[in-house]
Order: sequence, then structure tokens, then C-alpha cells
Amino acid sequence: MLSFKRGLHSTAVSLARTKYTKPKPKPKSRPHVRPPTQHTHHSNDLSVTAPIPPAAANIVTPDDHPLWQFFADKKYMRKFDELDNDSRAWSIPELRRKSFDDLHSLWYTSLRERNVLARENHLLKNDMGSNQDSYEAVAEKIRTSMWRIRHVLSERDWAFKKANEQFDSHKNKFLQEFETDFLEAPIVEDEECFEKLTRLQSSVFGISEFIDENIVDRTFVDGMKYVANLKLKKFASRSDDIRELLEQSNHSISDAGEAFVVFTAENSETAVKEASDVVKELRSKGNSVSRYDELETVNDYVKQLAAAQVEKNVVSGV
Amino acid sequence: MRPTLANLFRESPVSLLTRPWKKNRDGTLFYGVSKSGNRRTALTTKQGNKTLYKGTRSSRIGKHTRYGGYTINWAKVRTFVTPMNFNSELKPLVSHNVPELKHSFQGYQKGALDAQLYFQKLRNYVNEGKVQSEASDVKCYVERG
Repeated sequence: MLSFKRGLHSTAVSLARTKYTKPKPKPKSRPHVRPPTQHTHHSNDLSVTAPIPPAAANIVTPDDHPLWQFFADKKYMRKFDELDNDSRAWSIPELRRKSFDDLHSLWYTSLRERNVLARENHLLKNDMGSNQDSYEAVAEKIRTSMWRIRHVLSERDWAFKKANEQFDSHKNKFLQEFETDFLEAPIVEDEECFEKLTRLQSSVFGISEFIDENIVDRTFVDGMKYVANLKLKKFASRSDDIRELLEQSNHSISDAGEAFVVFTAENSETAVKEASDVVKELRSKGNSVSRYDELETVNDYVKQLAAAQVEKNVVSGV
Repeated sequence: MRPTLANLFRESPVSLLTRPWKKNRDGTLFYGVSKSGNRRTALTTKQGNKTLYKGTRSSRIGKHTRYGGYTINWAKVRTFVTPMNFNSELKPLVSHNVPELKHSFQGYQKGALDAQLYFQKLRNYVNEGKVQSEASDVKCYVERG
């Protein structure tokens, strides 16, 4: 039987036994507690310090602050006679003589100078209340230089495009001329001749001297064949083997594999002769590259050669 | 429908077609600031009512996604290519004591754009390599080009 005691309506609640009646036991102390990874900045970390008076001396600016680029010699403002008032803008013919890198640098130098001048002119008009544009006059000259840079670049682009359009018809004649000069030169001038050849192959066919820089495409393969034939013809008059090879192949090599062998040979009689022996061996084995997979095959060859060169350099410790 | 009579087709007088209709005394068209306000200049970005947003055609380098995010389209982000080999010796202006160089392009009608000139330069490069031309001397002021 339940026993009832009279009480207030809240008594039963306060006297009731629940699981929270007893205080919980303290948790065991943990020996390895990870310290917090982030420390939040709380206002109780702050302390009162003496006020810093707002003075220019209290502001530290690093010397290499990027905004210094807007100042000339770290001056607030240059005086008018400190400006370069006499100098003139670059003329177009002068800029034509500069390389792309130089023009690019000059563009950024001009841009910086114009930023400085614009800042100074702004100060002159707004802080000093002047109605003169003395800094603007110099900036205008620099602006002239800048449009001329763009003009020269566009001119160069157009000249290249137009010359390229006409080069197709001009190319054969040009190469023919080079070939006659190349073959007629005496033995003494060999070194010079081959320097000319490297310049020709880089400017006309885009073939770099360094084999790993090359991208194999139609022009590369055509150029490679042209260079290989030239080399053979150059040494044919001095070596019977090479002449024999040329006569066998109707005075020009058209197989890409054979051309690659001769093309990569060094520019000396012995090296070219060895190359021609290799070509003969290839022919006797019946190895030839079909015209349809010339590009892929030559690409593989170039990669292999580049890899071999890298390996050689690693071994010799270069 | 009755066809329009041919004599009704008439050329409209030019003064009706040209705007504004006011002209200066010398007959040139009148443009400019008038006392009653000029309505013919384009609105700036600060004008117009609250619904007018005239941008500078410069913003938006990507897209807003649903849920309030934003994806940047890097092809639209401005990039400034600085020179690889910066040549700090070149100054923005040239001394006035240096005579201005002129290119004559003698024998090449189209001047700098002449293809024959290009081929000649190519030929020279192949034969001689990179050679300083005569104008690298400051005193020289006329060059072929």
C-alpha cells in the first residue's frame, strides 16, 4: 500500500530519487592530454599599453615594399626641374632594332614611370591646387613610346605573315641557291658551311641543334631529308662509298629512316661514311620506313636519341 | 488596294533626317552643352534610377553556383605576363642628344612589310649569323631597315 504524506506540490519533485540525486564520481585523471591545437584570441589576453601617437616616425615601411614602385627615388614628389624634360620618345626605327624581350621590358619600364608621373600629377592638381599638367607632358612622351612598341610588334607580325604567304613559291629557289653555294665551297670553309647549315635548318625548317627540343612534324621531316641529302652530296666528291650510295639512290635519299641516320651523323667525312655504311646495311636487310608512318617513326627515333643522350650525360657526370 | 500614286514618292529633305535640327551659323551640326541640360551624352555608371546597372563590361570572371558558391573560370581572369629576362638598362625616354634613326628601305617598296626584304634578311642571317647592323653606332642616323 502506498503511504502518502501531505506536502507542497513541489516537495514530491524535490524529494524524488533520480539518478542525478547523488553527485557523480569525478572522472579519472587522464595522464596524456593533448594540448589544444588552436589558441583562440580572447579578450582576456589583451592588455592596456601606452597609446602610439600617429606620427610618420612611428610607421615602419620596408624598403622593398611594392608600393615604392609608384615613387621616384622614394620621394613624395619630384620637383619640376628634376624631371627629364628634354628627352624624347623612342622612335619607331630605334624600336625596330630591339628584340621581343627588350620591347617587353621597355613596356613595363614605361608603364611604371607613367604610374609615378600620374601619381605626382594628381598630387600637383589636388594637393597643391595647381592647374598645370607639367608631369603629364612627360607622361605623354612615354605614352608615345608605348604605342610605338605596339606598332613595331604588329608590324613584325604582319611582315612575318606576309613573308610566310610568299615563302611557298620562294622556298625552292632559296634552298637551291643555298645548295649550290654549300656544295661549291672549298674544303677549308667546311666549318663555316656547316654553321650556315644549322642556321638554315633552324630558320627555315625550325629544327633545333639540340635534338630533345624538337617537335616532329612534316616540316621537321622534310628539313631532315634536305639536310641529310646535302651532307651526302657534300662528302660524295671526297669518298667513293658515299658517291656510290648516292648513285644507287638516284641522287637523293627519300626514306626517313635512312635520312635520320645521316642527319644525326656528325659533320665529318668519316662520320658520314659510317652513316652511309649503316644505310647500306639497312637496305640489304630490307628495312625501310613507309611514307605513311614517317612522322611516328621519326618521333620514336628522336625520343630514343634524346634518352640516350641524357643517359650518356648522366654517366659522364655532366 | 489602290496603288500609291507615283508622285507621292518624294525624297525627304535632308534637314528632316539630320539630328539635332539646330545648326551653327556656318552650317555645321550643333552639339554640346545646352542650358536645359544635355540629353545626348551617354549615361555614366553613376546615373540612372535604381534599376539601372551599367557595368564596365569588366566583371564576372566566373559563375554563381546554386547554393551561393562561385566558380572561377580561369580563362576569364586577367593575367599580366611580365618579361622573362627583364632588361633594366632600357629607359622610357631617349636622350635628345641622340639623333633620331631613320629607315630608308631603299629598293623595297612596301617598306617594313616587304616580303623580299624579309627574305633578304633571312639570307643574310643564314650566311653571316647574328651581326650588329651599322646603326648600333649612335652616330649613324640613316639605315636601310
